Amino acid sequence: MRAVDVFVVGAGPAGSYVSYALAKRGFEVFMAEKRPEVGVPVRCGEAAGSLAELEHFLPLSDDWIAGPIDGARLFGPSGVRVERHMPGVGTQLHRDRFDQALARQAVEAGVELQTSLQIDSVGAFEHGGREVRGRNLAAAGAPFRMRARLLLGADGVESLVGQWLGLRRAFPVGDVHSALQYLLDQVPAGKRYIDLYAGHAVAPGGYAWVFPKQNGTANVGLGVHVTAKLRRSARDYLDDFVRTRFPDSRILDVTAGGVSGPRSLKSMVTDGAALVGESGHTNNPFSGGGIMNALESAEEAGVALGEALRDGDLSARRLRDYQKRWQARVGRTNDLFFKLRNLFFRFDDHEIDWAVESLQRVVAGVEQNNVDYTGIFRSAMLEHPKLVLKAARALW
Amino acid sequence: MGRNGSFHIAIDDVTCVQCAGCVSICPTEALHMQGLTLECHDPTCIGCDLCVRFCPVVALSLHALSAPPVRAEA
Repeated sequence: MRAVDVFVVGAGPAGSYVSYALAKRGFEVFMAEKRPEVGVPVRCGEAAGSLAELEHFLPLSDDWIAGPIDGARLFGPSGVRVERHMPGVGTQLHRDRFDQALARQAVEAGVELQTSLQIDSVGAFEHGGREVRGRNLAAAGAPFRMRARLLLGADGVESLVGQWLGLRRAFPVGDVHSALQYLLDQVPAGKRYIDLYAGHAVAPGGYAWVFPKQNGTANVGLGVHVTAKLRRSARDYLDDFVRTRFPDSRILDVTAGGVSGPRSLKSMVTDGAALVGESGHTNNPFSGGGIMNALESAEEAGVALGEALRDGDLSARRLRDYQKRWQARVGRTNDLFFKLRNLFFRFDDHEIDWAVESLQRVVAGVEQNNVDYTGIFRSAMLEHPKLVLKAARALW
Repeated sequence: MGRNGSFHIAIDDVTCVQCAGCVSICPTEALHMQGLTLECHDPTCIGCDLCVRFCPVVALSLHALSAPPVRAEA
């Protein structure tokens, strides 16, 4: 049976980047992708970090850049809004071509990529490695076997590798939003801002988004918090939203999926294996966004796991260096966002409006270099005393 | 909520976009991707209804199978 240094399951941003990073360090890396074509179909809002942040991971190319994001607007249920102009703060991607470019970069660094390869089991860690088994979907399910010193799960929100390794379980009720997105045409041209809409009538427990793409098109979607009280589907809510705000637009494409807002994993590693990207719960629990986080986790994995491979110590204890690096870089901030998310779930519409107005005061204050936090706190105490209790419960 | 083996999740293959969101939330791992197709393993489904309410494109529906007459060991 063939043996490699590293076996990576999933050729999304995390899988491709960690493969690239380890191949560059001289290891033999094999990457398996279940789908016949990397990056297709797109399951993403496609908004990522600035060009400078992206260039750190991949040479820039017009092939996958759909345009800059120059700011953001947040709308509360009553129509109150906060707006912030931040030229080039983000980038709208063509996510399919972005993923393909990352995979190409990995292959050019020596990674072997096989598509249409479904992995079914990852074996136990014995004799210094794991035996991966799967099926080649392009060849009538022909059996596939390979040994690897190190196994990496980069299989996204529904990670099975993480479950097989005992590192994660199915998401608890409420940790995944039901999300739906349409690609619309004839979206009125305006500033290249991302617009976010909160409120129980628009998207209970979540938010709706409008991310402009090219030629008057935009990704328009929303996520709803799935609870026992939810009576309508994400589709019902999105159809209402689109009918009200974009009555003349046509639906060019439909994307659906679970947006996780995960609690950090207790452990992202075990003997001879680790999880990178969303399978390792790296995405932002408040916004659901995960592209940059996935790349950052892959970069940290490349450094820490590369050293572990070099030293021939693939014990869970040694691989934990990766998790420590991740926690220091993003994980701790994510833990804070997880608490914020739980607070947001408790907000009624008046409180969301209040939060948007407060944010407005913060933004105005930042621009004048003088934020009136005392005034905001006073307004919370006087106008929304319940909110303070809710915050106390969610944050501590 | 339910009893193992009494339920079935019907999947509308035309509507389903294979996002696998339901797979990630199914508490009993009854839903799974078989290659690129979604499938339900009925004996494992407990009829909790979570996936039906979750599905963003409304492709899933819950059906009660004829319940087994008695449980083997009561």
